[in-house]
Order: sequence, then C-alpha cells, then structure tokens
Amino acid sequence: MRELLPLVATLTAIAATAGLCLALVYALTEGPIAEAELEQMRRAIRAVLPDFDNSPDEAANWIESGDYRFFLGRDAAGELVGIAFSSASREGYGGTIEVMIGIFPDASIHRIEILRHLETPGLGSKIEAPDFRDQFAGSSDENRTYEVSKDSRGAPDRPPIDAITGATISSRAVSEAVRNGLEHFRAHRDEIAAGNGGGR
Amino acid sequence: MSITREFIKGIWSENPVLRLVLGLCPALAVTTTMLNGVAMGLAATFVLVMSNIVISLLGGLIPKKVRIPCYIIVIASFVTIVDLVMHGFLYDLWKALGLFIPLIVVNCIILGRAEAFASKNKVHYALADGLGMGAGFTLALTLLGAVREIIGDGRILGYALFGPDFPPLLLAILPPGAFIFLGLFLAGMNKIEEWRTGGAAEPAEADATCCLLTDSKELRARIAAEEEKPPSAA
Repeated sequence: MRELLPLVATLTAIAATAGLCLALVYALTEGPIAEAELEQMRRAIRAVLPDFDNSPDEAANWIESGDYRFFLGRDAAGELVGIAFSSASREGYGGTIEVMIGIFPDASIHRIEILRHLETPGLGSKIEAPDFRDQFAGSSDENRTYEVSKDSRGAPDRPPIDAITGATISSRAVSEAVRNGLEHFRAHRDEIAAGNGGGR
Repeated sequence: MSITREFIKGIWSENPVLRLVLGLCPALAVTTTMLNGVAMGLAATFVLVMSNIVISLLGGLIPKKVRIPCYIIVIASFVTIVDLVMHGFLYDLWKALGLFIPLIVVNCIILGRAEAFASKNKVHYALADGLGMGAGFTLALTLLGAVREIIGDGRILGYALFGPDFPPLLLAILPPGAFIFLGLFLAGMNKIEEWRTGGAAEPAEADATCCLLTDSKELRARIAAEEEKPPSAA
C-alpha cells in the first residue's frame, strides 16, 4: 500500500495539470472554433446561391423541413432567387459526406459545395474539385436522377454525371446526397418556397 | 554529446521513418499529397518537441512503474492542444488532416523518444533531439507525399504538372503505393549509407529496440550482445 502512494500521487498530479492546461486551451479556442464552423457554413451558402441581397444564414431567412434546413436567398425586391440546403450521404468511402446544394426556385441546381467528407486525400477528395461539382448544375428536368453514368441502366441521365476515376464510391455518395435532398425539396416545394422567412 | 549532433542525427543517420522505420502509420496514411505530408510532419514535430521538453524536465520525478501512463498523458495533452488550435485557426488544414491528428498520440516515434532519450537527458539535448527527429520525420513525409502526388496525380501542391493528357498512376496514391514507395525510399537510403560508410552501416530494418518499453536489463543486454556479434552465416 505504502509503495502505491507515490505512484498514485504522481499520476494524479500529472493528470490534473494536463486537465487544467487542456481546459485553458479549450476555453481559448472555443470561440474561434465555433466561428470557423459558422464561417464555413456561410461561405458555402454564399458560394452555392445565385446573387442575393439578404442574409440567408439568419434565422428569419431559413425554414426547416424534414431533416433539412433551407436557407432562402432573396433579391433586393424580396423575390426568392435561390435556396441553399445541406444534404448528407453515409455511403462515402470514409464515412458521411455532407453537401451544400444551391438551387433556383425551379429546383434546378445552381452549384454544389462539399461541406464535410473523410474521403481518401488526393483521390476521393477530388469530389471537391469544380470539374466534378459543376456536372450537377443546370437542368431542371424532374426526371434527372443525378446517378453516376456507371449506374444508370438503359438511357443515361442527361447530362450524365461522370464519376471520378478510382473514386466511384465517393462520387456515388455525392450524387446520392444531392438526389435525396432534391427529392425532399420537390415534395415540399410549396411550403418551403412560401417560407415563413417573409421577405427581408 | 553535442547539441548539433543530437539535431543532425534525426535528419539522417537516425531518421525516424527511413532509418529507424518508426511511425509508419502516419507516414503511409497521410502522404497522398505533399501538403498533407508537410502538415502532418509539422504537427508531429510540435508534439514531439513539447513532450520531449516536458518529459525531460519531469525525468527524475516520475516513478518508473507509472512512467508510460505519465508520458501518454503528456503526449495526449499536446495532441489535443494541436487539434483544438488547428480546428480554430487553420480550419482547412484541420479538415484535411482531421482524422490523423488524434493518431499522433500513438505515434511510436514520440513515445519512443520520450522513453529512449528525453527521460534520460538534459532538456536542451531533448529539445535538439525532438527538433531533429521532427525535421527528419517531416522531411521523409514531405518527400514521400511529393513523389506520390506527382506520380499518382500528376500534380505538385495541387498544380498540374503534365497537362491534361497525363495518365496518373492511381496506384501511387492508393495504400499499396505508399508501401511500394516507402520500400524504394528505404532501399535508396540503405544504398547511400552503404556507399557513405563503405559497407559498414547496417541496413535499416523494422527494429523495435528504440521503442522498447521494458526495463528488463537482461533483454537490453541480449540485444546489445546481438548487435556486437559479427554477422553469422544464416
């Protein structure tokens, strides 16, 4: 028992000191971390929406529907010009992929942005490249499924989504996230577009 | 024993990745691009230097029986600090490396240096050792990352090198590529050492002596004896 005492005392002292230091660093970085996360969200919303004049990230300008939060972008006249929302797929190669999708009110995609992913750096991480993301933009075709061209049986999607070489799984997960998000939007389009956000 | 020598040895003669063959998990996993290699190297260097300093200072105070948990607490604390600071101030880099930063805790080099060097030497030597080992680790990861990025992706630091028609050798940035290129690096390193020392240097091989977390005098003596033995016909 006696010989245990110095061991316990040393461990306790070191653990307590470490805990104290960590608490201090946590307190100092808590603000910047929250700010960085928020800034990333804002940056993505700005990047995917067509030109807008309000602040979609303020509570008055977003509406929740299902698991999604729709950020409504309006022009100077208060007219709805675009909607941004994030959608996720668990089917990524390294786990969940979160995508910010910006659409026009007619449900055609303006731009998408990858918010979060754990794909292989240098390979699956190419889902972040504009070349890949831009393929989603454009058509308001209700039947467009956004499947990667490998998966579409029979008539391929117009225009097709080309999967990234060597990263079909990552590409597929992005298109799944986009597809699911859009499906939800289409099903609830009226209530979302009406938005309780109400002008500016 | 000189500070310069303690620093230099980590870069070349005892390079953690290429000579001691330690810390292979991050060396293989994150080196798909050059930038990832640099960043991982610098993050690990910070943790290594800080834990070397603290452990060297605490050296005499820690009872032998609980030294490993003590080292781990010190190392894990610095890793958490790196993680929090990068999350707050270097968000994009943190996103790219996020998965691997917590793994620095179990990086064999850091615990290995704490046990084999920092705990037995004065703080300025421990600092030089940490800086040198960190520099060697960073250098090895950067080189490996650069080669894999160029061959596997046709880019360096994100800039395309060969124009759009270059068919990248995908294998290089996939996990098998990491092993293959690390193997080539080790072979090259061994060859150079052989020339430099006229055949006297032992080739690098995975050797856990440096990481040996045992007190057994007998085992250490046996290893020492084996090292002195002339190479017998196998």
